[in-house]
Amino acid sequence: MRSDLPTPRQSTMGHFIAGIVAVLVFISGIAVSAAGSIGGLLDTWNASVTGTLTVQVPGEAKAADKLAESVRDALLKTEGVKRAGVVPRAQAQALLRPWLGDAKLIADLPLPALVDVELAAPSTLTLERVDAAVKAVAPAAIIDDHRVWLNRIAEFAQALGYIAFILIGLALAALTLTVVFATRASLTEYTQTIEVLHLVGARDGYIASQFSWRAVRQALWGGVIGLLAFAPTLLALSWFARRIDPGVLPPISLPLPYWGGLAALPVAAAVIAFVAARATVARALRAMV
Amino acid sequence: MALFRTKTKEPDADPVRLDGVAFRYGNSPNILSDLSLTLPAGSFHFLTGASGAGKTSLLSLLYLSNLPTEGKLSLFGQDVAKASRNRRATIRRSLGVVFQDFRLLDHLSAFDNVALPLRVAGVSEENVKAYVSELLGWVGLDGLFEARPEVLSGGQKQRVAIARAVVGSPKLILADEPPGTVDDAIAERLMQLFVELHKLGACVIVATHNEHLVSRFPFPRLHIERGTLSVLPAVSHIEAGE
Repeated sequence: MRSDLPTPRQSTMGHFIAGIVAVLVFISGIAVSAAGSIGGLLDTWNASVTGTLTVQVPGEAKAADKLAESVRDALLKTEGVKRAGVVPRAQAQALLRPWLGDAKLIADLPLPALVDVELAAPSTLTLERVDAAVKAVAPAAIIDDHRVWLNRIAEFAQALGYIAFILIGLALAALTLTVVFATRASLTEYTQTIEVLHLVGARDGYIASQFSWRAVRQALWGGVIGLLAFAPTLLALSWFARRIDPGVLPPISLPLPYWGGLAALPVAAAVIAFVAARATVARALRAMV
Repeated sequence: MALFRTKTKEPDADPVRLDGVAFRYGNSPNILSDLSLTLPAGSFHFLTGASGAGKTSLLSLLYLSNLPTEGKLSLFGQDVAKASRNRRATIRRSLGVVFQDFRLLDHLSAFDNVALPLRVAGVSEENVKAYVSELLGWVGLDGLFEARPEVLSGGQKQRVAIARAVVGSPKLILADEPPGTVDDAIAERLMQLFVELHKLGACVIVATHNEHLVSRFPFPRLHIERGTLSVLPAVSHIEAGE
């Protein structure tokens, strides 16, 4: 659309709206990817941690090992169990060596026998079946399903996720206010232009359109610039994350809907800019005859 | 000269009709009181009166920058106070106004300033180019199409302002003449332009202090004194009668 307004270069407000939108989209991008990565992290943990559990069979080494084999056999017959295996005592001792050192001392420790279990489909029902099967063979055995630990981590991650969404909301609110006030401020600068357009017979809709489409162009530009600046930041973050042991942090990745959310940010900014500019100009025009 | 023509709803209605019109700003005393007057199509009047007598206020009512505080103002048969905002915008397209301070847009070229009334009325770019180029040539601004107002002289700015006022072939032309910005030869030519449009049927009002100008043309005067209006015969006629 052809514009009768000064170009941003000609006006003192300049690229203000574009600049502020760029910054806010950048911040929102960080918040969206934080929310997305936390979601991805939770999924990965759920898959890798709830799918496994450990059974500890206490007692004198030889008896415990024997009992552990019975537990394993019972578990292999249990529905929902994908794999079960007794952890060789030597392997368990080897795990302790870096901390305790002396092989003889470790051999004398009353270590429980361990059964490593992988579930096909982790669910409460499967866990109950596993519990029943284990207790039937070895009533003293302890089942560690990592659930308590996971729940706390999940709660923490969930809270971080909520904060990320609050951040996105705040950024959008700041964007709305900024566009409204920037448009109002620029109206003062454009009073003469508006008056002249009004006096030569422009309808209110024509004048309001000039301002709203200009605000849309600026917001879209700012949004795209904000996204372009944000992309390398996300790449850098995921590069650093990849350098850490994959067991600790899964790769920072965004689920597809979050990419959609990121792409929608400039569009949302443009819509807000359009509505704000139109409403502000319409109000100014109503003050004229 | 082929100028673009806008259509009005009632082409036969008088361009200007005032019935007991009064005007004041806020609670201040009346600037204009009890003005009643009808100006038919094809009439030409000078608007005279001392500074502060209310010439500019009367013009501001006529170009719909203000509404009367009392009485009724009709333009082309339409009560402006009752007209919708869009209707008023359409009425404004039948007006050509030359402001005392020109009110050109500094960020637009001379061409784009003159094109403004056509563009807001939705005239095609092809026609805009044709009408504006011809008119700018006619007022002697060939070669200055792309010049911004800041680089133009006072006289050139006035010619741009006049070109903008008449480009839409207005039915009512209101000119608030700034004293002494245009040399006599050009003033003559511009007056000829107004006279030409008046002969084509436009109603013209030229507010002026320039007694020389008033005496050179045989047009009656609308004289404002202390907020009231009287119609005086043309100065040239008085002189002829003496």
